[in-house]
Amino acid sequence: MTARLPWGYDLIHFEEIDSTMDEARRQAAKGVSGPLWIMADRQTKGRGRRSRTWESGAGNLLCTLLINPGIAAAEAAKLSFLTALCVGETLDHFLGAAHRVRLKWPNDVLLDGRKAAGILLESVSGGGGMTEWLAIGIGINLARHPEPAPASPDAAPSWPAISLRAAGVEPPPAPETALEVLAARFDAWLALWRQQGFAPVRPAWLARAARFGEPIEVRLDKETLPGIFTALDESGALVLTLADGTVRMISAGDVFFPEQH
Amino acid sequence: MNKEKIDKDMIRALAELLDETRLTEIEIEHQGLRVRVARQPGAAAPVMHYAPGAAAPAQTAQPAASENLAAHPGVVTSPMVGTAYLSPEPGATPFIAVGDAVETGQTLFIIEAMKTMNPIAAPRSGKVVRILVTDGHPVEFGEPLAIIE
Repeated sequence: MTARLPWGYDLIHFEEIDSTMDEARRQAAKGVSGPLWIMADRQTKGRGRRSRTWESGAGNLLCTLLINPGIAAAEAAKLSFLTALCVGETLDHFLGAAHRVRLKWPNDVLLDGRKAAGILLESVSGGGGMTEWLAIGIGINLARHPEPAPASPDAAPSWPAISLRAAGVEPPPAPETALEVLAARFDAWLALWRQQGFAPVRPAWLARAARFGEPIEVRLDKETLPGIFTALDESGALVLTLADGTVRMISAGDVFFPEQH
Repeated sequence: MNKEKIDKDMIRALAELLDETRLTEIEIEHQGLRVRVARQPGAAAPVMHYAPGAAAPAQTAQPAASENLAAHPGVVTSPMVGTAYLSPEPGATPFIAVGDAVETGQTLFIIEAMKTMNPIAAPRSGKVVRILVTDGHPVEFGEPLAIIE
């Protein structure tokens, strides 16, 4: 079947590809500015942030949205939150409920406290800091999810995973069906974004934020900061209040919960 | 509020005030944006530091450089607040090293903010003479990242 997308969006569907992010880069290099959805049944080089691998098994949604937002790089980064909302609402749709999905800063989507999706955004800026294009990569675990990796002292801590099927949605939606729902959510939120920017996204994201106002840990490249998740600022930075009252603005890092030691 | 649209007139007025009053530093907060205009010892021009949000402490020990790098004609600055990476992935060879010749458009750094990866491209061809950021460290909007001559 072919996914039916909102008016104005193109779709390229591959049976197998290196990764939809790499394809988005090739499309952008050819001058395609989107909006274009790229989906694949399988990826041979699925990847996440800082080249972590993303398990790309059949039956899951693997896709990238290529858009040309024409906004400053700092603004484009806030589309991370919009993306998490769209993915969260897509999961709600198939779960038939909204209370099981929470969002972890900035764009992790947790279903029953487990990672159900991966999101990766890559931009290219031209002169003047404007974004020439933005590739929004999304993987949603529909039919399967990775088993926890064997514990290794060197491995970065990983988050437990889940799929819609494991959460009780049987049979799970076909990837094309999930893309139709996701693309419709994007169309609606992007229309709002074009009119009002981050303003409506921020409270909607906070309303579903995991551990808002509670203790969390932020792991940076070279240190781990425990503190209270006190706010999300207008730039999208996580506001972390440390035990001594110091306030840190976090724009990159991994959030963990204190019980995950 | 768009923090990139910094009121240049306001900064200019502050810089003039700094000269007039012979102060070494003026810091003001206006609509959530904090601007500090400070004179570095021995420097001719005032150096501006931007801090996002009213509550943010100055957390990066960013350089009381004795030269005004931001005004260097070959400077490459950060388009956003974020974390700088010097290599495409942890442990990989850095994009550039001092002394390298680079082509226009070649990736020099990645700045990450909100899990959005922003490759920073060389604005011109030339030779990398300085790299001003450390891998995995935070950078501010407008902060000098490298000098290409």
